[in-house]
Amino acid sequence: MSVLLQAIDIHKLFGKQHVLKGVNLDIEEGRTVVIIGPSGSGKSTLLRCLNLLVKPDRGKIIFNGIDITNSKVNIHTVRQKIGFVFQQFNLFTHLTALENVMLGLVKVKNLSKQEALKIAKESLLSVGITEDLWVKYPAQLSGGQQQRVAIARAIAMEPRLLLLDEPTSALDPELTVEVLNVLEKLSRNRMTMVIVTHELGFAMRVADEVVFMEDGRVIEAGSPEKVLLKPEKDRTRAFVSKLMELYRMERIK
Amino acid sequence: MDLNTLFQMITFIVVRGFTLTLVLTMGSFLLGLGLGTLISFLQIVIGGLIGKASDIAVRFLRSIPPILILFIIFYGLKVDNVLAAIIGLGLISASYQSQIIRGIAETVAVKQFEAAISIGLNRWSAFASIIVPQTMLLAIPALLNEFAALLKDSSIAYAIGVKEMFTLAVNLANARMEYATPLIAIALVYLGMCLSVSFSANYIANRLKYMGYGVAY
Repeated sequence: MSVLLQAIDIHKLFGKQHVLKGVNLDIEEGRTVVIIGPSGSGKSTLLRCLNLLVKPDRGKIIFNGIDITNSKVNIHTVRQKIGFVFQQFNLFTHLTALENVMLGLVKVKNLSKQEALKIAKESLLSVGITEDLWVKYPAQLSGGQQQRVAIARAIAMEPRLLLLDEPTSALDPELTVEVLNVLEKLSRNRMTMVIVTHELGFAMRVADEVVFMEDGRVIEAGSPEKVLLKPEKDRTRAFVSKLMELYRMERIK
Repeated sequence: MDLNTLFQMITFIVVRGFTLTLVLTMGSFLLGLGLGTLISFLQIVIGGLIGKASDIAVRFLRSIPPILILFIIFYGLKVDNVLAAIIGLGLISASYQSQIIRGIAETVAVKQFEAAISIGLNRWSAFASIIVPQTMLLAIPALLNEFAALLKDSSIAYAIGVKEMFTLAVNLANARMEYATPLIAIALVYLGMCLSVSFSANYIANRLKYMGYGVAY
């Protein structure tokens, strides 16, 4: 399979803090990559670098054969092809669920109202947001519904790549499930995805590749079986066993 | 002091003076809104040296007594007194309104801007279709409170001889050689007007909160 996105030697500094210290990452088309790691390890920053929401200080991002870190590239056009889902959903508060999904189609893709409406409805239905919720404002929706609308907003643009930054961290366990189910479905349909998450069960079941990050570096990467069950590095083992313990406690509760 | 006289005075002040007070308030509010929007735009979108300059202008306007600004415009520029009051109050109001708008726009932008550009909107359309509409809605309560402040502060136009409500009340007092009743009357008029504006501002703020604005984001 071909490589869709390649991050080469990415460095990022916030002030004096060296958040990313030379990260390399290859994302193959149609695969689901899960990034795990302790907080402060730079996973969210890395994800934001991939569509240049955060501009890396050094290194290159090659997307679909083009170096998008080159200042001549129109990054807005590139971002149409890379969806982003935020931890806090970040829906447009003054627009209904349907309008949230339509906005990009009309303003960015310049589709007609009817076309946009059709795509938006399909997209919302595909994440399980039914007709009665379309006219609701974000504040009238549950967290899980908001996050699913946010996913619909991203996939309606037909992105080549979907980036998700801890999409379930702000949700209750029951609501987490409904969002993870949507992501599992997308993964089965071969949407290329990079997901930052702490949901190990989900990673085990759905991911094609798991990347463990710590202290601004990729420590270990590979299949979920390898990284989560038979990690080579001590640091990976320590982190995974800690997460596993939490995961078990969650289940007992 | 009998209630009948008080009531007559209130009626007199409102009937004879309200139009001019409203003209001053509306005029300076709209001038302040236009200029304030422009200033906040310069500060948020353009920034740099122009942003700095407008920031200094705002501080400058806030550091001079309003009555002095009115005198400078009226005696210095020799414009009509009603116009001078509108310009003076409008300039001062612009300095406050610009910071109301700027504060809200920046709060809105924190999360919404990233979301907007992540679907491929450029900076300009993110600003126009996401930040501006939300800011306009969220700014309504604070701007209404600013309107209420202008309503009562328009009384300083008395100093340059504009015959608005406060001037009428003072003239009435001078003519009668009795100050208590006219001053109570004018106080009640301002109180009634300002309180009703600020209550509607509160009501709108609560409605917006209920709709999920300003709290979750």
